[in-house]
Amino acid sequence: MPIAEHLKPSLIELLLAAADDKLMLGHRNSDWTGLGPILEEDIAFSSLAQDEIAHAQTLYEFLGPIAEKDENELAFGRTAEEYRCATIVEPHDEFDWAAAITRQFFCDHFDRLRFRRLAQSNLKPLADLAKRIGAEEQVHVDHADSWMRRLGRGTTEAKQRVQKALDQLAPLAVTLFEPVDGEPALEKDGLYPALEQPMIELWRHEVDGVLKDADLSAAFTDFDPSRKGGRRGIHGAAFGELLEEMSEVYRIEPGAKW
Amino acid sequence: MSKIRQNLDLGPAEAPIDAEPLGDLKPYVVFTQLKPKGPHLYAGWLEAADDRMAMLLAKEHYGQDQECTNIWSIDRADLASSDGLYTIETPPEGAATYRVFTQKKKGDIFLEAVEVSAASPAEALEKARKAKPQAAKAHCVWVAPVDRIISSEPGEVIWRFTDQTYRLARGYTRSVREKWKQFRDEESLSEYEKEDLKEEF
Repeated sequence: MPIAEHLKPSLIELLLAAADDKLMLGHRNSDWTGLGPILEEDIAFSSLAQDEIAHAQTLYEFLGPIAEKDENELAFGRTAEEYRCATIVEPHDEFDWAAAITRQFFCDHFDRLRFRRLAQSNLKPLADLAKRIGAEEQVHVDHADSWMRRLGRGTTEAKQRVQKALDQLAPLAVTLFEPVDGEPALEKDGLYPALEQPMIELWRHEVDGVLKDADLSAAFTDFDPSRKGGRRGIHGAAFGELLEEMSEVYRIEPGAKW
Repeated sequence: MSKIRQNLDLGPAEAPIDAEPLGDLKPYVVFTQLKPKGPHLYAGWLEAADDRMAMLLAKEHYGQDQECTNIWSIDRADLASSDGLYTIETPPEGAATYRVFTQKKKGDIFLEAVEVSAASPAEALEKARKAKPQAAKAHCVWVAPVDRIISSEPGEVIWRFTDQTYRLARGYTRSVREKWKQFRDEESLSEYEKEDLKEEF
């Protein structure tokens, strides 16, 4: 099925948002390679970070013919304002394990819902891709949930630290839900169909369930539709530095073949 | 290494850790099944706090080494070996079904073999030897109670769908060799080399 011309720009925005979230999260989390809390978790967290980047790559490849750009150009060759990632994936976690896991936990639950929506898209190649990514997202969710429970029910210090991370990151979680320009049309035309309930409610329900089980809590803020952020190219203070470092090699010779 | 990481202030080296220990990590042995219905093969060991963590970590570690369809992990305390190296800490009461793993020669990997039912780990090891000719001649035999083997769920995603061949030796060799060949085949390069040699010698 060809994509209607008038929906193309919004579809590009939507898939860039998904890919950019994953690329930044993967990039940030890969900083933990060699520094994980225990050796095996070091390997596991690095593997999950690699997964995020692999998912981003797959989405950029899919977008290539639609956006008429190659995947490397999409990943590394844009200006900061052209990225559509949510504010929560941008800051460095300062090597605070509780913060790294908390962010991963928020994003994995969001992604599982996002790919469930995309898996119902009437654009079949996209739906097929989303089904496969969604299945892998389940692995990520299991991993993050397990750590939240472990830290929440662990020692007093573990609990305090993860609660602190939740207090810091909960206000940013809502940035994941900022819609891209043209999202209502994508929803209406079946490219990005709505779920049985608003996504934010489903997400809150899932996340709060795990937190309750872990004896933790988070004060989430309500979504403010008037606030423009990452999905519209307005990024936090840390983003410029992140992008500069991430695209350093690409910028030496854009389009270089390896 | 990231610049952020290079500039990281790790704080005082002797920063006190204010946490009460909850006990040690335990060793688990991991087996991976490479094809549906194929045997589970020894993959390696890992350390984890409990069974759940062992499975999550096994999936990311040994499950990503090569294509695999299922994973088993077994707490070392649930493993008995014919050489006496491992003994089951709390053996099942009465008769139980044990899974047998055999190592043909010293240094070989352990392979999943038959199941036997036995009244004790010692009897399971003895029965394992008799159950199959290759087990009789095996260098070493392990047994573990079947209900203590932690298994991934059927249909669960372990090996990812995105191209992971770069993780494998064959994938790496292939892509690197291809790139070299491509590089050497470029005529401009060989011409350049000739010119280069003229100048040097």
